[in-house]
Amino acid sequence: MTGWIVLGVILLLLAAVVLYVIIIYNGFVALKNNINQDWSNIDVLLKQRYDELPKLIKVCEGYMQHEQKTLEAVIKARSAINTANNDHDRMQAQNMLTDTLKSLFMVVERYPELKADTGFHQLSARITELEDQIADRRELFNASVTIYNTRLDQFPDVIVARLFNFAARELWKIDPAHRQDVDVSFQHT
Amino acid sequence: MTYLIVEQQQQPPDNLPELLKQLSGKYGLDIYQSRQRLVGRGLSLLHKGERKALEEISPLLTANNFVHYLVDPRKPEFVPLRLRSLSIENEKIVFTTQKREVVIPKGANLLVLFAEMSGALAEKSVSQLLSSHAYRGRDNVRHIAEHKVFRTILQGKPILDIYLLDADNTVIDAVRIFPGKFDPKGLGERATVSATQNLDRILKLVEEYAGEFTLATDFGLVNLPGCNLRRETPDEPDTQRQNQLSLARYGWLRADILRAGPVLTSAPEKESELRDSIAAAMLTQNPALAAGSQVEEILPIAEQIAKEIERDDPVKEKKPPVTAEEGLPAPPPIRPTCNWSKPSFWFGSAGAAIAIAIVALFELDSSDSFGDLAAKAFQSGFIFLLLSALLVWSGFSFIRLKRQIENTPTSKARSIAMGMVEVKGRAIRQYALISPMSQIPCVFYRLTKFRRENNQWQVTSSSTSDSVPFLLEDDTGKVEIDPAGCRVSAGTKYEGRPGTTGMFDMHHPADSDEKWVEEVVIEGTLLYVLGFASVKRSNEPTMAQKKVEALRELKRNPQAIEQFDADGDGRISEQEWDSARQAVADKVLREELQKKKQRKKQEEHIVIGKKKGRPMVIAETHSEERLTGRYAIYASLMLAAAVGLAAWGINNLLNFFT
Repeated sequence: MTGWIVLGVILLLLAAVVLYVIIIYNGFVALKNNINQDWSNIDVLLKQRYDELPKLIKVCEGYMQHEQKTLEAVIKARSAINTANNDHDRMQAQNMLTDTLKSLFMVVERYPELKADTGFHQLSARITELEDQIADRRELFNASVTIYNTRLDQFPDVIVARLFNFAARELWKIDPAHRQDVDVSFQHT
Repeated sequence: MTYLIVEQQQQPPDNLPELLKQLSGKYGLDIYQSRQRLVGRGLSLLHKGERKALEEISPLLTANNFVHYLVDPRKPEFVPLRLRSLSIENEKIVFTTQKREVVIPKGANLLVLFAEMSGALAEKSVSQLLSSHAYRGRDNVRHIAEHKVFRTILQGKPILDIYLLDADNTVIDAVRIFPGKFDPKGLGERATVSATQNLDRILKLVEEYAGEFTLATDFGLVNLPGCNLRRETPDEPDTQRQNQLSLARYGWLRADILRAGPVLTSAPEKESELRDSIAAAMLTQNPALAAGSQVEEILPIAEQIAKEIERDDPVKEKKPPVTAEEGLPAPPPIRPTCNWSKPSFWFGSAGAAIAIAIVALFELDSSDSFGDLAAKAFQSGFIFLLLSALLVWSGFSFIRLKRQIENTPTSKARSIAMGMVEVKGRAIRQYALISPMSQIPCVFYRLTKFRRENNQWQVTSSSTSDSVPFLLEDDTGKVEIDPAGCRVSAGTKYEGRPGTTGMFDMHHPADSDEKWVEEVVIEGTLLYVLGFASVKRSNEPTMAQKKVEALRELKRNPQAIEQFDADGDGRISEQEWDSARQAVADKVLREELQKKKQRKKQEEHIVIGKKKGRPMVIAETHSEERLTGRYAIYASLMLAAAVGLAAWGINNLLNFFT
């Protein structure tokens, strides 16, 4: 009789193990989908930023007659997003757009009338807000990827991951140029 | 031992944080405690110790305009004698007590304590403070008004203590007057049939006779050593005597304070005080604020000036005090709830149901077909196997929830995307929600009422505020949280007895057969929230509804409709009505577009709530590990119990078939 009891308990434990494996597997699927969703959520904001740009450029054009190069750079970066064929190129184009926008906002300092323009003020505030949100969502994307990659290496998840070929994902990486130290110099006159 | 006693300021001064930092950094005073002792109404002991050490703190208080006293307290030499009767003469009032006569000559220096001994005043003051804190914010609390203090004392259990002081403010003699416990005939024409009114008459009488008159009505409200007022309970019959001793200590201490005199502040003169009072009255347009010894003389003038300001400055708006909490709307109605949606309810109920079933099996008649079946289910171990399966299922739900929490990264409030999200931050009220028992401003409460039956506590009813949404604020913004149908683990728990409100009676007597348990998530606590973010449903009417309403409005207004009467015949033809309809539609559309231009704040359009089939957790913890650790323990216990029950069930099963 003891044998039967042991067998029953073993069966129960086996059922528990199967259930646990199912939970781990489902967890991986959910994590993978979360990462995809987080990536798409960044795209949603990038699209919003993309849509706001023509309005901003239009407002700036009126005031910044001597900064055609800067404005053209923004327009070019915006178009590059459209022509990008894959995720990597798209990411590059988005980074380029972020850089050109930074240059634009720096140049604006020279145009007090433009800074005082209500339309420009609203648009720049909106784009800055979007930039902040994009940065947050990139962080969130990286957090999701990190959780997923950590799970892949953890025991007992690693067994399920290898069994079902779950592969590691890449983190969002910034342009290496942005890692360099900022050279700040104060000129004494 | 010297006491450093401060006169509290009703509103915290602008530089209070700096002062608190200095008090903490230089003199080691606790910041929270110091704040409590500096802000309020009345006197408060800030610190005690060697006079020399306290004298070092004094300049700091002086610089911040806190009137304060360095008091060397004397030991009370006697308690006031109880009044039996009195007689009024031209030059003196003679109070006859049980031991001797206390004579108050005209022009005497008097200290009069008008005290409420039942605790009603203290309770009212706390209640006013809490509700004012809840509705107006910490920095704008409104203390109980002086006239209300006076009225509450008269309506409660008043005692009048009159201390006769010498020129040096040393106590010479004292008399204690209880309403209805003396012969009022001596009051002559002043006497009334009301015992409390007679007390009031004596108060006015001694004021007339006094040269220097100091009235203190704040016994029970002040924070002075040995001057506490205890609430009377049937368990402690000695409370009355203790409170009367406290009052005597308070009287002696007040005399000591008068003797010590205030340490000079930047505006010590009475004239300056008066000027400040008038200024305060004028600025706030509240003449009652012109409180001072000459208040009665200046009140009409202050009122007149305030009116003049109002008249001369018609465009001036009455600005509300600057606080984020002011003007919170009343919370939606709270419904009594049964925790159907909570796993604890189901596990508890399922467990109880099975336990009842097991007990019932023994009670059931074996001749009963259902009873026979149930008895067989029990003997065969089927019930244990069923329970084991239930425990396995619930154990795995906790594991799943644990993994879900671990697998969800924390979002920031300003960039929340739709879907399952996790946020951490400080809880802020969106509605003026106050917990029913402890009267604390909170974002969530659960009140469970118990009744003791057969020595066991049983839940009689339960209500939660889960219909009241709140806000969660992190360092980037705010987001609305809707706790409806969610598992909320509150960190603060209070126990009380029926009818408990406020800070009194937060404990229940052991012999009570009823108790209330209140779990509260206090405003400002750090919360962990896992839930489903979605766009808030708008309660606004649709475009079509707005158009219909605008057309109705147009029909009701003949003057407005006239402008569409193109041919001027006094009637609106079908064509004219079409153009009117088009104009209204355009107007509504323009208004809508204008509204859309104004961007909504995050908390105005996104809400995190419970979605069917998805978990939602609101926990008063900022550490995910602690939360998931708790779930791991629950899961382990359930799975261990499941294995045990399964072994037992199989054993019964084998015995049954062999």
